[in-house]
Amino acid sequence: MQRLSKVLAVSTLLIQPLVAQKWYEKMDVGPAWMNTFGDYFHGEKRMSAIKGLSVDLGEGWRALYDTETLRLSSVYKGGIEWGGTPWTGAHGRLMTMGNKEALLVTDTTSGWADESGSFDDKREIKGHGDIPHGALTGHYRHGRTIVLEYTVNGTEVLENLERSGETITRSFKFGSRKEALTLVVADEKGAFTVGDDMLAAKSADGLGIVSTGGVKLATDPKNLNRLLALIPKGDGELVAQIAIAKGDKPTAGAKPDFAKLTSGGPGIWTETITTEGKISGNDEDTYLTDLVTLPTENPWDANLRFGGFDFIDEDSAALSTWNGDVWVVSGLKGDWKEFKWRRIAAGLFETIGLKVVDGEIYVNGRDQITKLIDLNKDGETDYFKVFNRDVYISENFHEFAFDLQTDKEGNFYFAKAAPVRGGGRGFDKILPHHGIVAKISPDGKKFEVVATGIRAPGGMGIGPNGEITTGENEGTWQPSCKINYVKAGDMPVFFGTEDSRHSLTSAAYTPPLVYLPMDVDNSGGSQVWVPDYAKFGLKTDEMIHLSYGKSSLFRVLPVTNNGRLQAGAVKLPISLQSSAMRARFHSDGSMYVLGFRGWQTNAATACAFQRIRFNAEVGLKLPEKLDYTESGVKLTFPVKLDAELAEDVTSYSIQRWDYVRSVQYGSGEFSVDNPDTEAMEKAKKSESKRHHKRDSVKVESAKLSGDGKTVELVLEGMKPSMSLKVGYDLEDTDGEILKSEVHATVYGK
Amino acid sequence: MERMFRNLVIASVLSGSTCAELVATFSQGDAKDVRMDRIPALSVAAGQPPTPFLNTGGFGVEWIGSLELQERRRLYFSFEGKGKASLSIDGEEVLAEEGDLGVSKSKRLRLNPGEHDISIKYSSADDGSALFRIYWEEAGMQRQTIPPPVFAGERTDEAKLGELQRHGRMSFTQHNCAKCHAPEEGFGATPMPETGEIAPILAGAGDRLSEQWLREWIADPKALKPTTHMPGLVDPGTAEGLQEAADLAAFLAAMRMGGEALPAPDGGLAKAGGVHFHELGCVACHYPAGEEATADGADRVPLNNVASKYLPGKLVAFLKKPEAYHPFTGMPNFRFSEEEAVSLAAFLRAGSEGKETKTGYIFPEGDAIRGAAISESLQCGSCHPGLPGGVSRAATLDEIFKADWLKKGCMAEGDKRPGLPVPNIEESEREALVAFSKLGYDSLKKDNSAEFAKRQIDAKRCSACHALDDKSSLLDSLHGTTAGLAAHVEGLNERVDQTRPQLTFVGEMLYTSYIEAMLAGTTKTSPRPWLGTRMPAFGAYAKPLAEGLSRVHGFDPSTPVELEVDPELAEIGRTLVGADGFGCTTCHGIGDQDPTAAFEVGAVNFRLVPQRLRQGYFYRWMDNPAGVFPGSKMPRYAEGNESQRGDILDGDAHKQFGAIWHWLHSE
Repeated sequence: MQRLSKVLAVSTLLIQPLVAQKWYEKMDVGPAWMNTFGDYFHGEKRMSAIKGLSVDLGEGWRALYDTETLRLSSVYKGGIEWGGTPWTGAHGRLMTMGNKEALLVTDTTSGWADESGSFDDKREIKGHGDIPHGALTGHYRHGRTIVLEYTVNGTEVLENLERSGETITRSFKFGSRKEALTLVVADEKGAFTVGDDMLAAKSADGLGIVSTGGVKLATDPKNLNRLLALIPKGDGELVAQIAIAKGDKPTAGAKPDFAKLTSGGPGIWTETITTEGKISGNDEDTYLTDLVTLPTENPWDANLRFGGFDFIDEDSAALSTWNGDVWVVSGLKGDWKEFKWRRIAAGLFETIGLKVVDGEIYVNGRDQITKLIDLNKDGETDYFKVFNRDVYISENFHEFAFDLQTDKEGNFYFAKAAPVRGGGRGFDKILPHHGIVAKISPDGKKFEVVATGIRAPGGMGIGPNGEITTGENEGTWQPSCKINYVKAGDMPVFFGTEDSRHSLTSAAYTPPLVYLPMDVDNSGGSQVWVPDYAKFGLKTDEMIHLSYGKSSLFRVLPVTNNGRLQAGAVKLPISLQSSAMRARFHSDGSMYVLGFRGWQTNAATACAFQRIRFNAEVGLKLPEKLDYTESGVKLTFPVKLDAELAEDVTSYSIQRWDYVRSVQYGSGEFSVDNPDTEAMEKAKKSESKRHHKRDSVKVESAKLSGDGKTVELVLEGMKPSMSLKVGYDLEDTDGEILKSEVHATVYGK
Repeated sequence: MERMFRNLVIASVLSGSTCAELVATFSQGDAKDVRMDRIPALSVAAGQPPTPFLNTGGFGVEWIGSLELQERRRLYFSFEGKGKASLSIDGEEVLAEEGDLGVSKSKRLRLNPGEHDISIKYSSADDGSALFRIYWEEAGMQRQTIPPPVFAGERTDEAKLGELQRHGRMSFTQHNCAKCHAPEEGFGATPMPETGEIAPILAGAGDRLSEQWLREWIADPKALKPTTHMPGLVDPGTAEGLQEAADLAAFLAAMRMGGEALPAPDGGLAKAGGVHFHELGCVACHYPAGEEATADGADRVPLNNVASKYLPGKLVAFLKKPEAYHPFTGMPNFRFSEEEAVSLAAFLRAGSEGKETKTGYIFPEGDAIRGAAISESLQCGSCHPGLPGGVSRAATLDEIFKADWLKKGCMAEGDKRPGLPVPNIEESEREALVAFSKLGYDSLKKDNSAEFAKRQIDAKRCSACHALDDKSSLLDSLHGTTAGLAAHVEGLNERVDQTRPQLTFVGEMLYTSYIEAMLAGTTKTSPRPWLGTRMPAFGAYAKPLAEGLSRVHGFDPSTPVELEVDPELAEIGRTLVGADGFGCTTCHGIGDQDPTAAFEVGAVNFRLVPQRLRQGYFYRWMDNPAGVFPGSKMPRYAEGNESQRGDILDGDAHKQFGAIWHWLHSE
């Protein structure tokens, strides 16, 4: 009987879903949801809106806009065929509207005619980017009501879409119009018949349309199945409506009060969620990790995988999630007994970069950098102002837009991944902004490419002198993970992925500060530079590299050798509960680290936001300086070393190896001392990751400096190598074991 | 097939170089046997000898060599098993136990980088049963099997001789010497398994093989297949020899069993067959038809004679069930679908047409009746089932083992063995056979399971597809050469990592029953369905090979353990593997539930774990995956038993992994 009860208990256990089943179906993403969406056009599946915006019309009704062509793609009642990596985890399967039975669909042309009357795709890259004659400038949220803001042929337009029963009303407020505007209303399978007054129309399939405000309806002369709306030119403002429903002459809804809708409305996420922080009780470690407990249980079932953050002030921070939420947490300054979390925005597009400038929150999504504006100061975003949306994107699942940083001049930067194919090898169609570092002017008007050849950077950093760094992941043209680096005056620069080389056709490959082997860092994150107010045991202007894959942080030790900067990296003794994607220093001198688990990592929780405090009582005993000499390396420690061990050559383990950078995925490890040219050539033609031939380098002598802190190692040959691993196993003069390894890169002249 | 492979092995044995193995000296009374072991571990059942050159019963063994450390380590050592064992490092005994081993461990040893002498002594129970394994651990590394590449041993003369004798013994069976030279009293109840091997079945040979190919083959087998064990039986340098070949071919071509003539596969399918050829990694064991067989040490079987060998349409049946024609063939059963077999046959045929080996021999017309008589005279039926047999007229095994093989008989130089078969051996193999001959053939009447596995890993070319220790597989270096065959297939580059599992710890990793099922081809679900390659069946030796692979690692044969699941622990395990824990389900499926976001690498479905993994290995793997399988993308979640999830089970990684183990078995 006991056995049976155990079996029953276990069976019950198994009935519970292991993975939260369809959490994304339960999550309230808000009334406006930006993403890449496919849909159905007359039953045929298509890519409809790479930069899409879906409006929730209530009771299962949805509208989809393509914000690049300013086209209302579809209005329907129904579900969603879920896809998209941040949602279902699927690689390659897109989010698709379940609109096989739609009220309204439009074909994939521009939503508005240009000044010549054409709806043709005249973009530089067909299918990608904003149309030349119009652009989204933002959207407003008033309660659950959405107003789009855009320009067409120089005319400012506000548009609201509302549903009443089964009738949809598109309401517009136009600014002055030098010429008439023409809008695509619907593309039906059968022809439209337009009334003599041109104020009503009906398709052969039974779709009825009515216009108001002087807007006339007409069929496209070239295509009687397409209904157009003609907005007359005029100097003043014009409010007009188009009502759409099955049947004859639908009635338009009440005219919206655009002034009210665009001045801030009632909040819809008014609850404040309180959590209690977990302060480390450990005082024995060099770094103490405190946990800012997340509001994972929230009324909106919002999945909180935060991937971008910045401090608003000393007490609060804004955090953005992979699924498009932005939250503000306050209480950081206090005793951590009570954090207050507010959801201030949702429905953004894979926002894994966030920066606060002068108290204003900017979030970087795949589609655009959005400035979040709280018009009525109620704590929620009312106006999602487009800061810059020049970035070209495709529907590829892997082309994440990582991070958001600024330099001293106020320029914004982010690192854009290349469209890696499912399985990680090769790329889908490359667009001009795939695999780049983008620089956006402080006013958001200028978008500039300052680095190309990126594959999957994970994050980036801006140094105190405008240096740009990025992480990078092993893959096609990237032999291993690494830290890219370029000085402010040396841009633009090519970081190695030939497929995303773009215009830098003759630029030489800029090798990284340091290559990192896969067992050290298998997926990079951001870099952060130590400010002068930090209390972190590191020196001002030192760089810290974050490893997303290993949930680790590395002290980066710069070395100027043969006239060029290179580096070594040594792991900081910091334990994290989740990955290390982003880090920023708080004004109190501590560092906060944020990370989630979305792809391969050893992160032990789905997401964690942590404060790292330096414990000066224990101190940091890692190497603080790395030098290369003609015959070897020098390591300087902050403490006096036990002389016997320090001068014992067996206390060191030195290896070096090279990689082969090629079109193949990653690289094996190849001997520097005995180059296997045949194997290295073969590595260009087929994957070589199983080739591990590291040279064990003999330490011929180890000499301790007079102050007892620097050891100089003479190696059997000091030569350029893409990886030089310097392992040490020492003790300080108090007998404490100092054991770690520095992973460095040594460049020749 | 494995002849040249083995020649290389023999050559390395004869060299004095240090290798990643230990010298293992077995003693039993006054008898002694020395061999090289890559793993100092034992599992010997009572009634089985510890080595084929010793008898059953109590024995001792000492492994000697060195530990090669790349950096300073602060290590503890410990044993597992039963018996009496001791360990000395750098001449100092650091651990000694007797009875149930594993109760204690050594003191912490601070070992500097470099070589450290190691001596491990072990004594079995009096009945000869033995069980022994050795482990190490240190701060930051839980108790682990010592990876074989850490060991190094200087081959002593005794060790070289022991290995040479072993190779000679294996070669003796592979060449089927005992088919003609039969033992007067048989090999007894528990012979060396390979003594039971037979050559291809020739009943119905005429239904599938072309007469012209048979002529060429009989006249000069090694010209067509350099690695063949088929001896030369006629002299193609004479008109008489060519006539005999033609007559034998006519005889075999007339041996029909009523098989229907079949049309050749549609040549249009060759392109699809080429894709399969590439995907399945056939190049690991074969030279493609257009590629010349070279002495590159890879010893692959050339495919240029496929079209000339098989009658149209007859290759398909062979591909689908090769063991039906040759139960001990090196060609495994891939469980081909009809489409795969037909398109592969079309590819192989199309690729080899006109590329057959040009021997230059001009054969006279053959006569089947004369051929039958020659076959009877040559006693072809001794090796080939399906041909008339009879009592061997060759010297008995007892007689030849009294002779000096260098002075007369098949192994002697040409002028010392007129009229005898000419075995396809090179000098190094001859040396091994002669070394074996000095021992008598008593070792053919018995065997040791672990040694059987070691031999079959070579014979079945396991390392052609699987990495072993720090050696990558042959296929790793060759696979790219056939990539062009599949270049037109969309999506091939979009698959997750295609690395095949390593063999290094296979006997420690998997239950014996699961290894057996994999070898027998009876598993219903592939553990790695994302691989373009697939594990084929080597059915003839599935059971003994599985047992041997376990015993190599010091584990007795095993089947899945019934675990009484603790529901509370299982619930914790469920949390740990799920999205709120380590997120294992990102890459691992659970039954019908797909992984949530597998990318770049695939991972074995959790539902398969209870029937596959031994518990000890599971813990080891969980503690440090890349430490077990260098390059593994399986994340590491703990260091020094400190889990990254400090909030569950006190952050004790071992306890957390135990909870996952309970959850994995909670079905």
